[in-house]
Amino acid sequence: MAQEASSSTSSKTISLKTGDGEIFEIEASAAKQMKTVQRLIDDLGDDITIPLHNVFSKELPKIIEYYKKDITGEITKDFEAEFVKDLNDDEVKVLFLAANYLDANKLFEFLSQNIADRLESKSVEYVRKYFGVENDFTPEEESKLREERAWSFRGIKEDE
Amino acid sequence: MEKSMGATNAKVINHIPEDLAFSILSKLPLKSLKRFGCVRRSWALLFENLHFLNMYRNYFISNNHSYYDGTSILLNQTNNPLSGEAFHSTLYLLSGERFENMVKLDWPPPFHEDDSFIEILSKTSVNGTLCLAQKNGMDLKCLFWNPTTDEFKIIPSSPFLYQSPYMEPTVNFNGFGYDHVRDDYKVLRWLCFFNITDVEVPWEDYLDVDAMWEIYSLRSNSWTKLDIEMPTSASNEKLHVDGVCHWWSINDDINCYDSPPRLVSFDLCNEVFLTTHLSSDMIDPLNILHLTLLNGFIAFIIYDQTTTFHIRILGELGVKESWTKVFILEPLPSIEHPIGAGRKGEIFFRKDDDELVWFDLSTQMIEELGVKGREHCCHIVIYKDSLLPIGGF
Repeated sequence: MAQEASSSTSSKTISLKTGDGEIFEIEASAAKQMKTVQRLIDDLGDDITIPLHNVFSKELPKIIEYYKKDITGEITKDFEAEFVKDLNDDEVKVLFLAANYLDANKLFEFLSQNIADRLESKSVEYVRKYFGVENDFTPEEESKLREERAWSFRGIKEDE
Repeated sequence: MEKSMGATNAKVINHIPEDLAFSILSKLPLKSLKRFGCVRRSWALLFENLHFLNMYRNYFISNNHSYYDGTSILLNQTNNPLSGEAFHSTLYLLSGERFENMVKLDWPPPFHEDDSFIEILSKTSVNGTLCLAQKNGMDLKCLFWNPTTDEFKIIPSSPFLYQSPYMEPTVNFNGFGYDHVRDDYKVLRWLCFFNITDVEVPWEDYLDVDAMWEIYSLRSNSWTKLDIEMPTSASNEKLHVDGVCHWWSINDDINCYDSPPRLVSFDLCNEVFLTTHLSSDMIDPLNILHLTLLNGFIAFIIYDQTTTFHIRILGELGVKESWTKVFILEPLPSIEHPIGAGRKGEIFFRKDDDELVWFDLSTQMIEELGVKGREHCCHIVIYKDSLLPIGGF
């Protein structure tokens, strides 16, 4: 070979280390789609293992799977439907937060849409728990608001 | 990928920070958003939060509703004639990213002699077919037309028009659309009757003919009287979406008592209607209302003498509290009134110098179309072409 392969050759892989110590390989072109990873590569070089403290071994393979498909231009509606089919709401949430941490925009937008679709008919209590937020209304304020917006509760099953 | 029970992570991540939450919330339908306003205080005021509102607006504009798949835009324009000139309706097919291509389409033969004030009912097409109507003096024309195949089919006269030889009918078209249950095309209109002046009506022949609704069915090729008391339309903005004809009214029913404005939605399949009142902050004697379909949503563009246009989107039919403030367009200098909405967040307007323009909601840019039009006589139609014969059967 006449010259050393530069980091932009398609066969170059990057090593990523999760918060729980596992190592995964990803192609450099896929890593480019995750801006956080790309920034770390720019800072640390592409030959060392990139540490991702806030992403764990449960989620990263799934994210890598998505971007592997993306670089071949094969993400279809069917693929996306399959991708989330067996995930429960909490698993999607973890992926969503990981996509945010990795600044992986395409996956982030897709997952926000998927979560919105899952939450569409849910109760107020379920959504509170899901987002981990506190109810800061007084009981009077809340009941007044519920009354004003009674139409938006029609057909929705409220949990206790 | 295998699922494992319980978290293998150090802790269960519970809290989603607010700005991330907005990415999810901005993609929810209005009904869900309003309900989730009860989750916490900051969510009750989502539409007043500029950060959220921008996300919601961006998603609204970029989310392509399936209604628009494979559609193009038609402009039905009427000229503003100089003295001595006649009125003409001209139909243009607009295409290109910025509507730079305008192709004039010829009206079908029944309109070749007189092409003035041709109305395209409900600004819609059904299987590539438009319903055209023209009322010029005593002459009434109503027909189906497919501009792609040039086939046209004249709709027969109604037996209810001349129930009494002493009363003259006035015809008002309210809608055209598709009944998917019966696979039928229907045309809805109402008739009212006036005594023909200077004619002596013999006492024994006196017949009081009440105003009435009638509906035409292509399958039966006939008009049927509708036994229904339904408010009549107050303007030219009539729409058809998914088998429902929409218009707005300030009448109580056909007998014209002044009432607060409300949306009327007539279901062509079961032939019943629903009214949706406007919220009190939408009603003002100085306000002008323009009903339109914006990215698949029923919406009112509300404006007055200033150059500010407010857009309220309907969250749920029948629910007056669900009119949501989504866009404010200001200032749009020299813009007089809207003429319709396009497919991806374009709103078409007429300027005070008669120029027809379009406004891009995402870029906030205004561009001229290159044609002028008469006040309140130009309309945008969303058209989906088809080679099927009219009626498809």
